[in-house]
Amino acid sequence: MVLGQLRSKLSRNNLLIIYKLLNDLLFVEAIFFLVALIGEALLPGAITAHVGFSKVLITIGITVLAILYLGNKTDVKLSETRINKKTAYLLVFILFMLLFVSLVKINLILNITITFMTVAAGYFIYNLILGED
Amino acid sequence: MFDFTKQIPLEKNIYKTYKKLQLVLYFFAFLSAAYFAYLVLFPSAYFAYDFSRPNSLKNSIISPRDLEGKYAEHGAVASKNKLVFDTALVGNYGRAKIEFTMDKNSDSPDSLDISARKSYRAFFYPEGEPATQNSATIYKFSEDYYLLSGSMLKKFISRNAYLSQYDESDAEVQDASILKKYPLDQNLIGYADGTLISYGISAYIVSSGKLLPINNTATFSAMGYNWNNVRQASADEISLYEKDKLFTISSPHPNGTIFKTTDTKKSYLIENGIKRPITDLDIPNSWQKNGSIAIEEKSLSVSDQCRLTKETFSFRTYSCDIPLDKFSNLIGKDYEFSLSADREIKIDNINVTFKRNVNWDNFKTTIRDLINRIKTNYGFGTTAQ
Repeated sequence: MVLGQLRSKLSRNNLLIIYKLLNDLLFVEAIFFLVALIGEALLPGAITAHVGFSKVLITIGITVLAILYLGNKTDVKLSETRINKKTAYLLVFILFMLLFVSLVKINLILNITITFMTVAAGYFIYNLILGED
Repeated sequence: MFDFTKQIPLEKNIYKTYKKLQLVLYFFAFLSAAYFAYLVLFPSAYFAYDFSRPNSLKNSIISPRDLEGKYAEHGAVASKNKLVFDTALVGNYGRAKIEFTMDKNSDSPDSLDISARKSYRAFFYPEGEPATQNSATIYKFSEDYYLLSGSMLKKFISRNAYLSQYDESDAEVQDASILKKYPLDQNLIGYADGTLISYGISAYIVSSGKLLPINNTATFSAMGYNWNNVRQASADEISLYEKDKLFTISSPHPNGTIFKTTDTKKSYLIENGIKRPITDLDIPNSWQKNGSIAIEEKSLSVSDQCRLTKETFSFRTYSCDIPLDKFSNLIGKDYEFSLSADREIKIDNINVTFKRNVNWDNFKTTIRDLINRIKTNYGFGTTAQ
């Protein structure tokens, strides 16, 4: 009810500005999360000593929910954009390195095998669920 | 600046407003990133004590006590007494912010002063009588060493254990008849108190017949120990001892520790909460054999203080900052704080925050520390160098 009253006070233009700004905020939060994840993988405790990942994830979750809510209320229809291949490769590489680093203390061959198998399994699951028929 | 939602058209003037707000958002994001980098690169160290929960694991301030060493029950400090407590940490910090939250029923003091000293906790112990060691009669038969104790022979568990206390020349070589002459005590003699021993990947300190397992290499270095003084022990030697609780950076140096002052060239033996001066350095004993911890006599007299004042938005919290520049070159990892008040007070909480100065040296130190920690984490180095 409070949200409804607030929304009626805000014009559609204002809501669109907020919607766009929330997308920017989500981008900033995602970058922070990625950098924090890499920092934490390199040196466990370096980031979580100052801010817990749960807080970061809750913040991201709230931002996503706010974007979805405002998107519905303002009837914004974002056309599907194609995945940026360069970004996708970069993220997969980072994922690969995070996996490798998390297993760095075990046998190297076993580490490479597990990392490779995990990435391969992830790829096939992705194809199975989201791949085109 | 980029726009992630180009599909959403906005009127030109509205779009301008969005762009301005977007600029503000990214500016704040940049400021937040800079602040976070500051937190990581110039980390503060926090210590706290809650007198209403004395057994809480969150209490990182060590041993709040009065001048006689008695625990400050419910945070009560008498007017002519002092509240003394310690913090243990490694690294160069620029200042310490000390905060006291008074109990609701406590009087408000007119003056509240706190002073700080830096050294090792055990070196702050009161000075006792000079340490003495009785001369010992030692026999060597075959490859075994025996100490004549009263009318019985006590066997050393190993040659290594013997050498941690005496020199090879101290033992009188005997034949088998010595074992017939004196009955053999079933209890074996182990390493001297204060000896550092290792077994597998673990390092221990021998003290009062027990083994104190050192929790990590950072503690080992922070305590001033030297890797060259670590003796490798066998399984039999280790099994002679009962393992005591973990030896952490918050632990004081145990019985048997020798402190040697670099400025006044004196030696002290730590024994049951007292430091005893060693006056005769010619006595051939374990005190000279297991390495000593370097310390400075002046660390007992170098201190700094501040007067606590009531915080602006609080009725019960008093705080002040003590600059730590005076202590930067002193050996040790423990800060001892002493609080004195003009009347009897009751304290609820103590908080101490050590803050680093933002300068190039501290930046380099943190980066070096981070690189070392990463190397250690991946098995390419050790923190204890």
